[in-house]
Order: sequence, then C-alpha cells, then structure tokens
Amino acid sequence: MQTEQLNGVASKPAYGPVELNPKSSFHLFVAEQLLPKAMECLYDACQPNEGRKEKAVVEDASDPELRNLLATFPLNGTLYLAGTEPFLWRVASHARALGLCPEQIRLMAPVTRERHLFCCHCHTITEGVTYSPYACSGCGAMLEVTDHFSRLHGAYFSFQANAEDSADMPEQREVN
Amino acid sequence: MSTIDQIDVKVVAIEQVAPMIKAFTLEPLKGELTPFSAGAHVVVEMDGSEQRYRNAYSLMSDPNDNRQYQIAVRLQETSRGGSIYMHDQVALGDELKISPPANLFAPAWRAKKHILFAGGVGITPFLSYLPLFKQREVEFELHYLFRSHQTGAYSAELAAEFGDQCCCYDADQGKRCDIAEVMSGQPLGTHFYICGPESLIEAVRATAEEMGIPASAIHWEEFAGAKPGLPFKVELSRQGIELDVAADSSLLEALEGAEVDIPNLCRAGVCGQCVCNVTEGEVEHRDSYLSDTEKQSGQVIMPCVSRAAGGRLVLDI
Repeated sequence: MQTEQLNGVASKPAYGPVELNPKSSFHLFVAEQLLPKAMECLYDACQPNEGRKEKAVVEDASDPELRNLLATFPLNGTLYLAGTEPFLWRVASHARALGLCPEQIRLMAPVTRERHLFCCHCHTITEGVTYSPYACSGCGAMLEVTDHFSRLHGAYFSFQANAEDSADMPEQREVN
Repeated sequence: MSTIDQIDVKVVAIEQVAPMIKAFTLEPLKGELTPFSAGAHVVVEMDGSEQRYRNAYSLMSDPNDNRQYQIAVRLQETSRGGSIYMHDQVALGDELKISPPANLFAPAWRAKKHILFAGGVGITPFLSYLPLFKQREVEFELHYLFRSHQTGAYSAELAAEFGDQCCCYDADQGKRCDIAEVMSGQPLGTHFYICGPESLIEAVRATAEEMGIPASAIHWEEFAGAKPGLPFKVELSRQGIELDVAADSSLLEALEGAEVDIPNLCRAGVCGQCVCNVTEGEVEHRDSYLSDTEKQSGQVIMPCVSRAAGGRLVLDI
C-alpha cells in the first residue's frame, strides 16, 4: 500500500558549495571526524592576509573545547563545518546561541545521508536512519520519515506509519 | 490584509525639544492604547486644507505605557508638507487619527550587545528601545549624531541618564563620530542599528562591509518618506478610472484620495505591503523592498514612494 506523502515539506536543508569569506579575520574549520577532502582543500586555499586560520576535529557537537573556541570568536569570523547532518546543525545551533549570524556559519554537504529521526510520540531521537518506515529506538513504533527537518534538533520529524492500521506496514523505501 | 481601524487621539502636550523638532503627546479619545514593541511606528493622518497627509513617525515613549504615545516631528521645509502641517497647524487639544502601531525596526533580541547610531530625529525609535534595554540589563552603546542648531533632542537627558553608554556628537560644535572606531573590536554577537539620514546608513553599512561584519547584524530604518517628483497620470485598468498624481503627492496618496484601499504599513518603500501590479508604463523605482530583478521586470511598483518614469502608468487594480 502507499501512504500519503508528507514529503512535499521544504524544510530539508539544501547544501550549496562552500566559499571562503575573504573579509574574515578568523577562519575556523571544524570536522566531526577526519577533515574530509573538500574541507582540506578549502583550508589549504584559505590564505588570510591579516587573519588567522585553525582546524579542529571535534567528535561531540557539545564538546567544551569547541565552545571555548567559539567563545573567543571575533565578530567577523567564519565557521566552516563538516560532518553528519545532526552534527552540523547542533554545532550551528550552539554557535547561534553564542552570537554568530547565519552567514558566518558555512555548512559543507553532510558526509553521509543517514538521518536522525525525531519521534513525535515519545520524543526520542533515533540515529543512523536510511529507510522509511523505521523502528523508533524509544517506543518501537514504525515511523514514517518525513523531509521536515528541525534545525534545532538536527533531526527529521517522524510519526507512526499508517496509523489507521499499523499492522499493515507500507513497503520500506530508501530516504535520500 | 484586513484593514485595522484607526485610533482617534487628542494632542495633550506639544514641546519644542530641539530648534527644528517638536514632540507631541497623544492620548486616546476613548479606552486605552495598546502597548507596542520597541521600534514601532504609527502613521499619523493629517487633514490639510488642500490635501490629506499620512506620515509615519516612530513611537518614542515607553512601550509598556498604554496611556499615551509620544512622537517627534522634525520640520522638513523642503518636504511635501506633512511635517510643516504638524509644526504649524496642530495645536494643543486637536484631534488626530493614527494607525495602530506596526514595527519594522525591532531590536534583535538574540544579540549580545546592541550599538545604536542615531542621526538627528533618528533618535526617536531608540528612545523606545532604551527602557527595555535597561529593564533587561542588556549591553548597549548609543552614538547620537546631531546639529544642535537644528536637532539634538534629549541629548542632555540621555547623557545624564546613561553616562558612558551614550556618546553625543554635535556637528555644530565640530564633534564627529569615527564610525570605524566605534565598530572595530566589538565582541561576537554585537548588532548595529542605524536610524537617520541615508548618508549615515550608508556610512555604517560600508564600514561593516569593509570590516567583514555580517550583513544580518546591521539593521536600519530610514525616516525618509515619499519625495516629490513630476506629475503623471495613472489608469486603474480593472476599475476603469484615471487619476492625476500631483508633483508633491505620492501614487499611494492619489489612490487613497480616490477611495482605493491599498494595504500599507511604512509608507517609505520598506515593508512591501502596498505592492501593485503594473501593466503599462515605465516605473521610477525608489523603494528598498523590491529586488533588482523585480525592479527590472517593470511589472510591480511600490506606490508609497515610487512614481512613473514617463507621463503615464497603468495599474492592474
């Protein structure tokens, strides 16, 4: 059977090519794991005249060291981020809270297409999702994955698939 | 957009607060006024003998005070007459109509620090920011540029109340503001606000651009409304009528004069409410709302400030 698609929602982020900001006095490159090649290229291409540049690998988006780096960030600095989508948006959210403007935060396309799902029933976040429907790691409900993305949670909204008759599950499909 | 009723108010105080600026205190004829958000303005309607003026003025009283509103009007002798009417015709006890408050210049409350640049009568929206800044204990600096022979209202009071947080620059005493110096070395999360003449807005924006300060940290409000131009004719194709737009009248005023209701908030080419579709004729765009592509398309006009480039326009109204 075919469930109704809610995937017309346009909040799924689009990632364009990332450019350096030549006016910045500080360029901070942060990756979740090893710096991906695209970010290494960007880092090498960054030749600030008077400013400085720095790169860091931070596995946890809430790492206190990252927060310290951001706390001394100048008003005209630029933050470049690489990693999984939830990582990108969690770091971006911390950065916003510290006062960075949206255009100071430049996100490279996520390194995997795995999603975090936010379950609207139990509010648990399920990681590493590539299929819909997918079992919630909190309440076990088979969740329909939408393209409605929360920048705050770094996760996609999801809800009980075929709620009228949850015994009749739609066929699994890949989500991109 | 629904039309919200105008509010009838009475002028309960008029004060000359600078050589060219009068402050008006307005109280509702009945009931209470609504509280407003810092940076809000109202549109004041004035029935002149020859024409009706509608000018937007920032509310400068405490946003939580619902007993009265205060506005300040700078006399613009070369303008189309609204400010002259306010200065010469409006007397204590007179009744006026105002729109409910609307806000296109609210503080960015996520900011860690606020830096305000006020030019002359551009101090008015910031006067409504200050009580809230004080109440919320946020960090701010006020840089107030004026000419004491003309403007500079409340400069002494502000300096006395806010001390080091308020810097006054009186050009008539040769004091200049070094904008680059004010803007350099400010911490992450600083937002900048400008209210004043276009030259001041441009100077701050250019400095920000030069220093690499993010554009979304710069907020401004121009107090220039419609400027006069050449007279032209406008045809309303759906209504099948033709109107004359006089040199010192805006297209929006001409439409209002013919009882054609056009939603509007700012009357200064900023908010985008009054956009109209153009089917014929060249437009002289004077707004800061439409994108360059929209302007080039020639299919839309902001009638509050923009005019016909030729003698005639046809609007799809």
